[in-house]
Amino acid sequence: MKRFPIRWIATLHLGIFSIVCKAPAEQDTFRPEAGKFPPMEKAHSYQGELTFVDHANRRGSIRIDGNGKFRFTDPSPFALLPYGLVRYQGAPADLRDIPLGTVMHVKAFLPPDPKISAVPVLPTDTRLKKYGNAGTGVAPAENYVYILEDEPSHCKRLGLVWKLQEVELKEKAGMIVARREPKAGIGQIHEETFSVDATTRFWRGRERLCITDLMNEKTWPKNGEKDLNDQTVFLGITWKPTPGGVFKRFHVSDIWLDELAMERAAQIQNETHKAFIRSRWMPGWVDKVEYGKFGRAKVTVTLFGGMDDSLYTDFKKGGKAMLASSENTLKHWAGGTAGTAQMASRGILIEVSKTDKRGSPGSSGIEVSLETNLVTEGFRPGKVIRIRPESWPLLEVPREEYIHHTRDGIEKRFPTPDIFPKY
Amino acid sequence: MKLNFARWVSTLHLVLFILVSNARPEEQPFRPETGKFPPLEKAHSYRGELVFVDHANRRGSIRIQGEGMYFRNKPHPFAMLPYGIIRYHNAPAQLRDIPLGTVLHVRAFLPPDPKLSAVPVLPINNRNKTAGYSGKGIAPAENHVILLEDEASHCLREGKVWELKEVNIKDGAGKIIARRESKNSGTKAEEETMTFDAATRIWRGLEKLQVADLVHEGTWPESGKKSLKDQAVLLGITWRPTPDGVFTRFHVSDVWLDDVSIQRAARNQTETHKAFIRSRWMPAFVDAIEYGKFGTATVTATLFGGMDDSLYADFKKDVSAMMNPVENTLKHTHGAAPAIWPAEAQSLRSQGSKAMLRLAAAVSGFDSRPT
Amino acid sequence: MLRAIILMISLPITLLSANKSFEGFLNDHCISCHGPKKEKGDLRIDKLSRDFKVGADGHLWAEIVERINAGEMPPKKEPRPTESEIASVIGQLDTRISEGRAARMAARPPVAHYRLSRKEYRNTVHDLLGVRYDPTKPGELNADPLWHGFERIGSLLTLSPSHVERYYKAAETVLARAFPLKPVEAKKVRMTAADIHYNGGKQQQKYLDQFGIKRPLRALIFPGRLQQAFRHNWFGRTGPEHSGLYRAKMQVSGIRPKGGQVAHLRIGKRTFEAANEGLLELDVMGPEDKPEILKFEVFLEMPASLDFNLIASDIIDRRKGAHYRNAFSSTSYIFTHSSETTLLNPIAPKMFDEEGDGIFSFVLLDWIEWEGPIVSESEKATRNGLLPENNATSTEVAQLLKNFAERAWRRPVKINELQPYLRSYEEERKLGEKVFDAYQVALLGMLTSRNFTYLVEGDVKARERLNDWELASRLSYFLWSSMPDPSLFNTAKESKLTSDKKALAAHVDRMLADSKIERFIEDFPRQWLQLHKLGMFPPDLKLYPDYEVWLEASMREEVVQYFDEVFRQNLAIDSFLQSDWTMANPRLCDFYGFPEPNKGGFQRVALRPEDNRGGLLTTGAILGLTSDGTRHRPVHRGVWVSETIFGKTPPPPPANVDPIEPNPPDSPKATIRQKLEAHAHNPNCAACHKNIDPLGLAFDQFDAIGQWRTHERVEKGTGSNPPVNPGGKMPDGRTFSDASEFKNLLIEDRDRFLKAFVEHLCTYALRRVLTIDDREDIHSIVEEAKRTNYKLKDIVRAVALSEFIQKR
Repeated sequence: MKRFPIRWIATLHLGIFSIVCKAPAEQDTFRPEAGKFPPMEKAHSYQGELTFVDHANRRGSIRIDGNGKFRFTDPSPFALLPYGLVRYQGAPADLRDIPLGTVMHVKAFLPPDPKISAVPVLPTDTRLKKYGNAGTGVAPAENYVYILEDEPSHCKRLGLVWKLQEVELKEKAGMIVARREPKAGIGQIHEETFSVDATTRFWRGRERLCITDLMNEKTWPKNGEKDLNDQTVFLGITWKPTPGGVFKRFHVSDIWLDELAMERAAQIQNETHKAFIRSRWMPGWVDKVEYGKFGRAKVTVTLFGGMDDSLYTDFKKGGKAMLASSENTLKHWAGGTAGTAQMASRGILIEVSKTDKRGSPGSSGIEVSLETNLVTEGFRPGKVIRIRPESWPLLEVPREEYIHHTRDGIEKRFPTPDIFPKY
Repeated sequence: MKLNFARWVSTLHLVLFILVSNARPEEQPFRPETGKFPPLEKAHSYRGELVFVDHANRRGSIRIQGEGMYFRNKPHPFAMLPYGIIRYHNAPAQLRDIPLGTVLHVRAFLPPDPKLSAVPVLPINNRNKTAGYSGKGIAPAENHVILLEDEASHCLREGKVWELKEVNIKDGAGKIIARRESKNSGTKAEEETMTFDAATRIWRGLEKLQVADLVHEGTWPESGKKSLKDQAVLLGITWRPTPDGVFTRFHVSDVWLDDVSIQRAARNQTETHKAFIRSRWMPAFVDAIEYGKFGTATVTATLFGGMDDSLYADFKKDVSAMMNPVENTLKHTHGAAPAIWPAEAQSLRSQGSKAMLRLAAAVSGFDSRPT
Repeated sequence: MLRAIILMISLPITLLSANKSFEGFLNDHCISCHGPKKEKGDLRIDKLSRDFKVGADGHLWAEIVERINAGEMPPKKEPRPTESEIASVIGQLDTRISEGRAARMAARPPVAHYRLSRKEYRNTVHDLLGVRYDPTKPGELNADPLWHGFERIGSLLTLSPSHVERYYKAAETVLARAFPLKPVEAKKVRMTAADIHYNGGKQQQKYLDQFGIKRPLRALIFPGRLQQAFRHNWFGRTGPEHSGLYRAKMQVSGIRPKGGQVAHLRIGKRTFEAANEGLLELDVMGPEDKPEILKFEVFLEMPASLDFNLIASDIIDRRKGAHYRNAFSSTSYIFTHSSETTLLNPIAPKMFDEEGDGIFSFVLLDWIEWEGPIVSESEKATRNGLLPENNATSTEVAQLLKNFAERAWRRPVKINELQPYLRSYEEERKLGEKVFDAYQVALLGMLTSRNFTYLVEGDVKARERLNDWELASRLSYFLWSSMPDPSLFNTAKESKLTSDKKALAAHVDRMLADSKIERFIEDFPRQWLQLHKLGMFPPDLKLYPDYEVWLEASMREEVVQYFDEVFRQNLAIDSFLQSDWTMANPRLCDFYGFPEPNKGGFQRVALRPEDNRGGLLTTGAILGLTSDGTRHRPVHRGVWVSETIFGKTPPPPPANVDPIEPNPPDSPKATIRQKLEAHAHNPNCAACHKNIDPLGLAFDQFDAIGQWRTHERVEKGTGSNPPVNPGGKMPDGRTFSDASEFKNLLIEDRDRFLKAFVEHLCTYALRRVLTIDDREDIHSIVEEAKRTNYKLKDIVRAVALSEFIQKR
């Protein structure tokens, strides 16, 4: 197999990357506070393969790409911040939507409250620690995730594209060299070699193709190399075990050959997420509570960000709404025989306003106020809530997604890291 | 898609199933034994939604469809038997390949060895217990799975097909009435109403479509009802929250309109699985060991089934091979027994799925009665 | 919704000047059809008995009044009597009927029996044997029937066979308590907030440890749900023998909204899901970080269970959702301090805001400690020397029994009266019972004798005056609601009560100064003012969200406290009508809008004119008990004023009067007064209403729970709520513009009020209905009261020292 030269651009990129990496180390004790969206620039960035998902508790494990041998890296547990965003195929998503094995980009913080962390709390300097063959950077203490996004989402958010350089194939499998660069043309360029095979899906317009289709069309060679002339694509990236000598090489699971194909994938994911949010309600947190007599209160909340605009426009001034106490896991509550909706407070949206609090992806910048006749304990500034405008369907969420106040103990509110195996 | 119906098969199947169901409680509880593949007909059947996966330990949880209010059902833990087969898109698969939320058909047994069960061991009669609003059958003790398959795989294996009766659409989403028919059945199965929405994927030939595309083409109406005239399709089924009054209603995630489309999906999944098995090796049971001198031995093993033929075809006589003892979870023993790592086959005779290896050193893991 | 009913009432007192006798009216309008010529409806009015005391034709006379009153008679085609003629004839007939009824109720046979009320029974067994026993507990003695609020009218207190059995049971209980088989040891138990949680709060503590929370668990006692205050099993095995006085202390904090209701804790027996019967009412004022220790004593019938109930006007009840409230009792609601909110169940109602101020009023409990049963030395002393020694002779036993009987029966006892009891003693002895046990059988007989459960007055040979013993009991049941004490007995024995006016006065003064006078202060106003009607129709919480049990209890207590103040300060009874002060606790201050007091409990509060209160008539209790839970009832209020202030009961309304319809949605909103006036066009109605209604309409500026208002809230109709008109004209023509002026007019009539008040006191003291024959005796007491400037204590004293009270 031919070795592709590492071009000077990649070297440059690495240089910049290591500089960026060092800077936040000096302010490594930053922790997000309840009720405040943290500035994205304070987040620690890494990427890795999703290896485990506990979607009901919005957490999982990721095998982080450090500077060593990838296969030696233990899955590293992470939890999503309540306003943490998950994006898949260029659209908002829930953890359950992401296939295991997908390589994700992560921006994360230290646990906001180590006492109630749902994942192991690590010493704050672990991201600089070397873990044997796996190298450094594979177990950062920053395991509370602000943004978790797959490759296409990452590229879309940052305005990047992949440009295919060369492919070399043998028996329906082989290597592909691609470069990620800003769509606009100016900026860092990152080059990488991936494996492709018969499992790789190719998306073109409405079509779903496989590698043999491309071969039959002669777009790709049956055997040998071919220059792909900077063909602009989006890549879906996963990982598969590599031969012993290869420290790290990712695999291309999907190639979106044109914008339409990518857009159609995003559309389906967006619709999936819209249906998800409509059934689980919009998460947000309480900004303030103004009290009336005997439990009457006006509760003002900020809706979390990153979702489809149509979800936000469903919140209309004067409309009815339901407001439910939630948890950092965004779980609902139920009690007795009362379902999740029955536990919510009902009221009228007396204000819906765009604030200037955006500037952070966790926030939608939308503040709504609801007047309720019985304010419950969960409506306290900084606490997470779920809110449902009247137009959304009234559905019952499944058992693992709510906490039953008499049957479930505190462990269900504050899941402990016990679920994660120690390696 | 060309689909033929000979309905008597379905009827026969149903009758048999009822007989088997009735007869079962009187029997001694059946447990699979180590080294023996249990008969599929002794398995308990159920279906439900995959809600949790611990793929590394080949286990997870399923919300099982019972008689009551589906959403209240607690996720029910299950473990794959070592030889348990998973099928997705009509191809062999791993747990990690199946998206959470997929509705799966399950055939399962009592834990072979309750002491070592990786999931909770329940009272044997648990499947007949009523659990409040959830109703009966949502937590069977039969939680060791021999066959786990998605709707498409299930239909194709059993010779069934979904006939679409009617679609009722509003704002790009709605309900579809369909009936799962046996291709050779004489009687009609019961109708089921399922939801679909703008996220439902519709596969036709090479195309991946959405509901909007069908509406645009005029195949489906923009609004209101339309008869679909028993159009034969395969369905991918998931579950989404339903209103309180609706006990159980499933959701259509995928519709395969023709053979090409499902074959494409199957091919992709087959390749995924092949790559997976090649990197993790073929699992098998040890049948016999003939000991030689100084630790050498000839080990005969039966390869587990349900995979693509090409994988079995790779086991050729006189080809060198490696063998590693693994656990019931099929986890490798990494670095634990370097002595056997270079174990080299002296001879390999292929007998169906039996493989015989001559090892330079036998270790305790190669026991004809592994625990 | 309750439908309003219009009452038609005539007021006889205003009609004395009517110039035509009722016989004339009957001749002119009735006899032609119901007389010798015609006998319509088999009725010959000319033949009806005019002897109203006998009451032979009482029901027919009542029917005649009813028909005339209702306008049915004379028939339409006959000549119409005038409005004043109707008023006159109804007034005269009703007066005669009432006087006849009173005379019958007051009639005394040679020997008269007056049964002790339940409260008197309770006091009597305590003073006799030092035993605490509560006959009002369900399953004990039957409730006392009431006559215009009075619960001690002899002619009403009859005994049914089932009642007799209950007296046996009561006597057994009392004796078992006085002479327990084994002495009962007092025990002390302290329960912390954790202890009263399920499983001792172990799970909660585990979570606190897990989250590193150092503060201990506090029990949140919140509105709408009862929580354990006392469980008999905290004391191990308990039975009725452990009944008695229990002393408690507890450490609590009271949380409340800024400027909101003081947290009020009620401790009592559970009655419903979120209700208990108040044994103790406590305002908790200690803030969260400075809990206070409250101490109290309570009498418990064991085995007992008591619950805390947080009383507040807004509770988290079923209407708002029990499913929220239930979240408090799960192990996922762990309260330590308002600054530690992590372990509070988010779906529980929020109890305090971000500053730690209450959203509701509630109490935090750290611990409660109980000790009991406690028997005081004076209680023990009452039992000294009551029981015979084990080797006592029959003579000694007979003597002891005689001593006991004279106290229990409150008179000298002849030995032959003791025979049945001695016989049962001997029989028990023969059967092998010990002296101690056999003797108690005799005591049981004594306590179930009519001589104990009744006040017996008179002899086989009729006499007019009481003897000394009878007078001693009459005085002591009048002032103490209990039996005479040894000192009074001694003077009776010397026959000085009836013969030595000085000795009598000395005793009356002593009794008025004794702490037992509290029983009079509590019992008399309750009966006189008919406080039992308060809360009889619970106010509609939709209309009156501020109303709750503690407010109601406070209202009731205000009246008693007010009476107490007038009594102890010996103020003139004018104070009952108008004053520039009242007695209020923090809850009432909040309700009336007075400044908040800086301590709990009842206290004298100065009134400003803008408070629009003063006197009894504008207290929440009186305004509430004359309403129906939905709206104020001007006519009821008028009747109440007439009965309580003037001592005159108007005749009852005719049957089948059309109710006042609720305001139609499409017509302008109208006040109740406007609707009443519309009805008054009917002369039959107008005749009576014009005399009674003004007495009630004067209070139209107060709604059904006694809140001040300027406009009447009308649920349906067009336009805004109409302003109320509290002005009116007295039957004698004097006018007033509001309640305050009306009260002044009443004060001008203070002699009438005094006479009525004396009549009420005498009814209470003599335990019978008064008649026309008692006029002169009443008059002389009234004259005495005038001499002492209408002062309350002096009036009570005058009654106690009067000739009248010595008459049978």
